[in-house]
Amino acid sequence: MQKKIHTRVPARGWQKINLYEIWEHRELLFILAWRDISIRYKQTFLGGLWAVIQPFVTMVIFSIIFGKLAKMPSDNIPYPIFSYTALVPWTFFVNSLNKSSLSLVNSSNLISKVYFPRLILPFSAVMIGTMDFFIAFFILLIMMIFYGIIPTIALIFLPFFILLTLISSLAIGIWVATLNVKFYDLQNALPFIIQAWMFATPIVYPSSLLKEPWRSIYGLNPMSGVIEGFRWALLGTNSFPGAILIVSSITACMLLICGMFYFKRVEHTFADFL
Amino acid sequence: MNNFSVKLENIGKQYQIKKRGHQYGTLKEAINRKINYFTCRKKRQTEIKTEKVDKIWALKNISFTVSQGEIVGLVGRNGAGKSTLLKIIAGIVTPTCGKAVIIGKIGCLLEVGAGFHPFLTGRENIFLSGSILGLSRADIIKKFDEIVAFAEIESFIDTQVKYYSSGMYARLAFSVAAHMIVDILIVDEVLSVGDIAFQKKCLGKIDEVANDGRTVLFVSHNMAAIQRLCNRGLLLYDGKIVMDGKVNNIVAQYLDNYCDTPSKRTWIYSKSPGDDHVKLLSIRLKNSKKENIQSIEIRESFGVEIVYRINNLQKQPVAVVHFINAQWIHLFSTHDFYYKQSTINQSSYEVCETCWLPGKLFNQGRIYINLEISSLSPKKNHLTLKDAVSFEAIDQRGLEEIKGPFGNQWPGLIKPEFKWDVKTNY
Repeated sequence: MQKKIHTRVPARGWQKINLYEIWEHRELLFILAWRDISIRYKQTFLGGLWAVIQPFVTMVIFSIIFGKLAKMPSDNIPYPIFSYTALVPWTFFVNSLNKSSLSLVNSSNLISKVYFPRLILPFSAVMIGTMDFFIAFFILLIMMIFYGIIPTIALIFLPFFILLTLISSLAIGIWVATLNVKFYDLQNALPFIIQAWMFATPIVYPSSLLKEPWRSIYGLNPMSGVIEGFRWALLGTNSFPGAILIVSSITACMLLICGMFYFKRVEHTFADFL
Repeated sequence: MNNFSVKLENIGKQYQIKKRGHQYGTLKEAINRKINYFTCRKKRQTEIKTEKVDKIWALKNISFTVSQGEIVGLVGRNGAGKSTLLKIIAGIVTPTCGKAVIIGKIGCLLEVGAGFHPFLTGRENIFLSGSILGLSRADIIKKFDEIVAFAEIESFIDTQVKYYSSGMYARLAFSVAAHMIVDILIVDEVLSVGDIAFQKKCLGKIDEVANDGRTVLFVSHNMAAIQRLCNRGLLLYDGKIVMDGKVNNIVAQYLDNYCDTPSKRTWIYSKSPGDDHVKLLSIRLKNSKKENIQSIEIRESFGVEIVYRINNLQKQPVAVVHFINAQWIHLFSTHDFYYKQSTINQSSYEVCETCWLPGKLFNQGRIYINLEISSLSPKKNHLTLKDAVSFEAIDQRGLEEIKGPFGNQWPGLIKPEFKWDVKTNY
């Protein structure tokens, strides 16, 4: 059998991303995600219920404040399901961000003692949330039946929007994880950033409030594309959010690729920094 | 085919140590630096000069080649760069300069229990830790029973690890790591886990790996283990390789020159320890051929030689030699009272005396010697020297031969041999 040859040379400047190596370590990726999920189930009393409680309670609050009191327009869809449809991917995104921001810092003992592709860590941090996502999504389906909403043919595009959610979460997650190693300030700033981001995303209001070209520019926030996509595919909101989607998809992919390159560039300093 | 498995060329590793000791750079610092970079170029140059960043070479100019199947022991004091070197080979740390080529799959045992989580059961942790160490799921399933049996925790395998005793924890952790299927095994000071019986098993396991023709790089402060396992040694000091050669020479060199307590010490008269009446000139360990030694083979006799100068004393003082082991247990003391001439008609003279210790007396380990020289009448202590010299007591028989019922470490503070009368059909 041909033996693998490893070369250790100084790392300077931009490095190439070895996707094959990550693929080789896919088992580790899953087992790290599984570890965090199973620990949460062992530690918490409510376990998987938290996946539902978080978006559901937020939805109730939003429905009272924005739906009932502020009479926010919701594209002629009942406000609770209008906001919950957005909160399912949004909660996944927020959890991914929180988990990834700590993924490197909290694994410092692993990083300084064992070799594996470090990108695995933010990847698995994002994976952790997928289970919660599907639990919350299941509740969404129940709500749709409750409100008697029948999805249109657009439903077949849903997998694409789920993929876009993953890409966006991964992209921002990698950035946050990397920056958090060097700038611990980010840890404190993250809650505010997330809060501001939420209001910059069409969660409590529809993006139809904005006129073109602002609406397309709005797509630079990848999560607005995701959420408009979800609403369109599931609830059949009037028009296909084409421009937003294209801008969001390109932004998300660009962020992911740049994030991975930046990660690789500073990867070699992690063991020294942590 | 290449017949080396590890090849290092001019490897160096530099660390920057900030004077202010910030572990994390703050955003403020980074922004300031950038602002300075763009706005005041002239100021920047002075800034760089004044900014105190200490650069430390943890490793410098490290070059060596390890052939396939070699078992190399890395020896050196704390901070000599041993662990950094292993981390570079393992790929955890990137070198600052140089190049290293490693052929084959690397297994890295820098810490026992890498990735262990207290809330998971033993079974779950085997899979977790195994994956982190690079074992595939299929391999873990195949080796699962072996891992559990080796760790001796069969009945606790489905208990959360947080309820384990520290020994059980360490055993399980080592066991997972020991079953990695690798071409090159990197081991850093992990043998200190568990009880003596388990340590013996660990050594045996590494022996087994080595006999398989796989390459082992081994760091330990346990000289006996290094001497037994390795056939080649590298002595590191201050980030550089000082010596590369046969393990026995390396260990001897290390014990003699790079240990806190050497095996031989001499003083010039003006700086020698003692009072006005007694001045110690030298103390050393020697074998029966009167050669200096740093370690003793526990079955052979050896001597502790002291040379001192006496000024204006009526009676010869008494020298007492104390033997203390690494756990600070006082093993025994011996004195020269019955061997002294009562009076000598000289006011100033030198004495050279040797205390001969029989073979088959010491147990394995590091032994420290304290020396005292006193007069009895009138009672006066002339000299007390703690940790005067030290030596390593080593049992050089093969691992198999001494395993016996107790493993490589015979119980008890000393290991004397006595006469036994054995009669059959009495």
